[in-house]
Amino acid sequence: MVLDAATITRIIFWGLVAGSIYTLLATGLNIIFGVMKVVNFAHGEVMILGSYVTFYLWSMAQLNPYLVIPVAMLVVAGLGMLIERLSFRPIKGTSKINEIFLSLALILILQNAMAVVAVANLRELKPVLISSPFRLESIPLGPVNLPNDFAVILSVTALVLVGLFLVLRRTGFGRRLRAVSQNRTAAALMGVDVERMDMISFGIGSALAALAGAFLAILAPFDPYSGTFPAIKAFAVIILGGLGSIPGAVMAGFILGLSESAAAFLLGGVWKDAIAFAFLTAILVVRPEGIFGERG
Amino acid sequence: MIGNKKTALTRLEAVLAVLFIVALIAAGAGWVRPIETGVTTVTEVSTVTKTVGEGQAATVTVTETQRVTVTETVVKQPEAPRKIKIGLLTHQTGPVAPIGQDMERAFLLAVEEINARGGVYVDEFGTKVLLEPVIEDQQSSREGTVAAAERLVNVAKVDIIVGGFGSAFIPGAQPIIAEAGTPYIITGVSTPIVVTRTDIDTSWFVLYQAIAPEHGQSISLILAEAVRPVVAPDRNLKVAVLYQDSPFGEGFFAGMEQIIEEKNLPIDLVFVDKFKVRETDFRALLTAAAAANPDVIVPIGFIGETIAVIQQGVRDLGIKKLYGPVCVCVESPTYYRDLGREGEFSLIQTYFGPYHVHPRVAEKVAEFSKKFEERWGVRPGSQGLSVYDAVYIAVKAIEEAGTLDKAKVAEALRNLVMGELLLPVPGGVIKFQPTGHQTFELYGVQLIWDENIQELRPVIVWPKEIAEAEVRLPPDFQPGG
Repeated sequence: MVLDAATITRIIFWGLVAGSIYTLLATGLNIIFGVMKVVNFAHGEVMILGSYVTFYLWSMAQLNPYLVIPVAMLVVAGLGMLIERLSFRPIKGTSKINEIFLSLALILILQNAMAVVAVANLRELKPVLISSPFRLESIPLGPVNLPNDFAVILSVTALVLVGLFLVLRRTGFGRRLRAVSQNRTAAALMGVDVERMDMISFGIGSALAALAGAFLAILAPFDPYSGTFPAIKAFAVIILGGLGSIPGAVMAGFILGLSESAAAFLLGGVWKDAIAFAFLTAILVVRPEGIFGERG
Repeated sequence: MIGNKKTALTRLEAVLAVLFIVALIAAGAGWVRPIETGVTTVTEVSTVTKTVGEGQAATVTVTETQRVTVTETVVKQPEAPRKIKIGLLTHQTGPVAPIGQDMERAFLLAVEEINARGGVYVDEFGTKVLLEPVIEDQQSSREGTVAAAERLVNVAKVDIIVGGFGSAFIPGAQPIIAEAGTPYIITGVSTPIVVTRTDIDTSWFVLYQAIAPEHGQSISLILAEAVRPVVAPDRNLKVAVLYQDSPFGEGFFAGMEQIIEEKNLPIDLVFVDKFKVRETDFRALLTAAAAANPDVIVPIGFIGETIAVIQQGVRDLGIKKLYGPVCVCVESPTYYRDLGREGEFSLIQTYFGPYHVHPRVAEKVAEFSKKFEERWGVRPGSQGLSVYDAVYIAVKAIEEAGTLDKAKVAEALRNLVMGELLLPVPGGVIKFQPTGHQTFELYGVQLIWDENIQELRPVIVWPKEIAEAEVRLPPDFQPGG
C-alpha cells in the first residue's frame, strides 16, 4: 500500500471532517450534560432532525444549503427547548432512570415522527442527501485537492466552536451558564434563573446537533435512523474528553475522527470502529477521568 | 427564590404538554403505519366482511390491530365449503415498513384479482373457492417475524404463506412453519440457507427470489462480458470490491469469487475490503482501494452506502474509474435522483427497476404497474412484484394439487411448472430447483445522464441478447494498471 504525502494528507482531512461532526455533536451533548446533568440519548435523532429541516428548507428555497443552515439551527433549537420544557423538566429531580427511559422513548418517537413526516409515501423512505453547489469544486492544497465542502465544514466548525468558547468565557450569559454548570444551587442563590439556563442549554445543544446533521446530510445520504451511530460516538467523545469539558470534547472528537480514518485506511473498513474504540479504552485506562476531566 | 422556583406546569402548559405527548405518541405508537385512506381497522382476532358494491364482497381476517384495505369486486360464487386462507408475512411497522407496504399492496392486488375471477378451482370441492387474505406484521425484527409466523399457522391456521422479507428474520420463523406443516413461498430472502438448511424439514418451503451468489455471479459476468471488452480487451480487468460486512455482502462476494474461479474469468480482484452496515464515510477505504489502481470499483451495499461510495469516490477523491455493477437493492426512484451526475456511467445488476424492465416481461409488468398505480397511487417495487407472482404461484400449486391438503400443496409447489409471471426466469418457465429455489434472469444496466429530465436513466448493457447499447466510459476515465 502506497503511503505517500498525498495519501497521508487525505487521510488527515477525512479524519478532521468526520471529527468535526463528532465534535459538534459531542459539544452540544456536553453543554446539556454540564448544565442539566441530563444524558440525552436522543441527541443523534435531534441531529437527524437538523438534517431533515435543512433538507426541506433547501428543497423549498432552492438556495445554497449552507445559507439555510442557520435557519435550520434556529428551528431545531426551538424544538429542543420544547422537548426540554415538556419532557425533561417535568421529571427533573426524580430518579435518573426516568431521564434515561425518557430519552430512550424520545429516540423511538423522533425516529418514527420523522419517518411519518419526512415522506408522504413510506415506500419512498430511502436515504436522501443534500446536493451542495460546491460538490464538484476543490481547492489545491499541497499534494491534494481539498473539496470545497470540506473547507466550508472545517471552517464553519472552527468558527462556531471559537464563537461558543468566547460566548461562554466572555459574556454575562456565558458566566451564568457556567455557574449553573458548576453549582446549580449556588447559581440559583445568586439570582440565576436555572430553569431558563436549562432550556437555553438544551437549545444550544440542539442547534449544534442540527449543524452536525446539516453537514452530515451534505456529506452522505441519511434517513431517520442514521443518528444512532454518530450519537454513540459522541458519547464516546465526551467520555474521552472528560464529562462536561468542551475543550476535551473538541480534542476527543478530532482524535476519534482521525483514528477512524487511519484505521479504515490501514486495516480496513470493519476495523474503523474497533480501533477507534480500542484507542478510547486505552486512554481511559490511563486517564479514567478523560483527557480534560477533573480527577476525583 | 429562584432556586426553589416551582417546576409545576401552568394550565396552558399542561394542555400543551398533553397535546404534545398525544401527538408524539400518535406519531410513534406502533412504529409506522403505512396504509393510507379508506382503510378498515379492526382489533383482535376477527373476521371483517366489507361490502363494496352490489353483490360484491371480500373478507379479510386479521389477528392483531392492523389496517387492511379491500375494495375489489367478487363475482357470484358457487357454494364452497370454505375459503382458502392465504397468509402474508410482511413488515407493517418499523424501518422495513416501506418495503413491507409494497409487498402488502401487491399481495392484496393479486388476491383481489383472483377473487374477482371467482377464486381458485379446487378439484376436491368441485368448485371455485375464494381467497381469504391474512396479513401478519414482522415488525422489522426477528422476534416480530417469529410471532407473526406463529399467529399465521397456529391462530389463523392459514393454508399457505407467501412473502416474508429479511435474511436475518425468516430463518427464525421457519421451524414454526415447518412444524405446523404449512407450505410457504419465501420471496424476500437472498440467502439460500432457507431452503438448504438441514435442521428442519425444508420440503415445506420454496424460495422465489434471486439468491446472493446468483447476484454476485451476475456482477462478475457483467464485468467480464460487458465491461472488460471496452476497458481492457487485451488484459485482465482489475477490480476493487468493497462489500458490506453482513451475510448479504458476503453472499454477493462469494458468488463473484466463485464464478471467476469456476469459469476462469479474466478478472483480477486487486483490492477487497469490507465495511460495516450503515457506514457513511468511505473516503479512507476508497483511498486504499484507489491505491491498488483498479479499472472498476464495485460497491456491494444498500442504497445509502452505494450512493455514498460513488459520490465520495467521484466527488471527494476524484477517483475516475467505473463504478459497479451495484446491487439490485438500490433500485428505487430515489437512487436515480440522489446519485446525481456523479453516478453517470455507473452500473447496476438487476432484474427489475423503476425505469427499466426485462424486454420479455415488459408488457406484463407495464400492465401490472398500471393497475398498481391506479389502485395505490404509487409505482410498485421489486418486492411487490415478487409477492404478486408468489400469490399466483400459490394458486397454481393449489389447482395442481386439487386439494387444500397442505402436504399435497407443498409437493405440487416443488413440482410446479408454469410460465413466467412478472419477474424474468430462465427459459420463461417457473420451475423450482431440487433445492426448492427458483433462479432468475438477471441483467445489467448502465446509468446515463438525461439532460432533459436532469436525472440518471438506465440503458441495458448485458447480456448481449437484450443489450440496448455497449458499456460507455466516462470522458476522463483512468484505466487501472
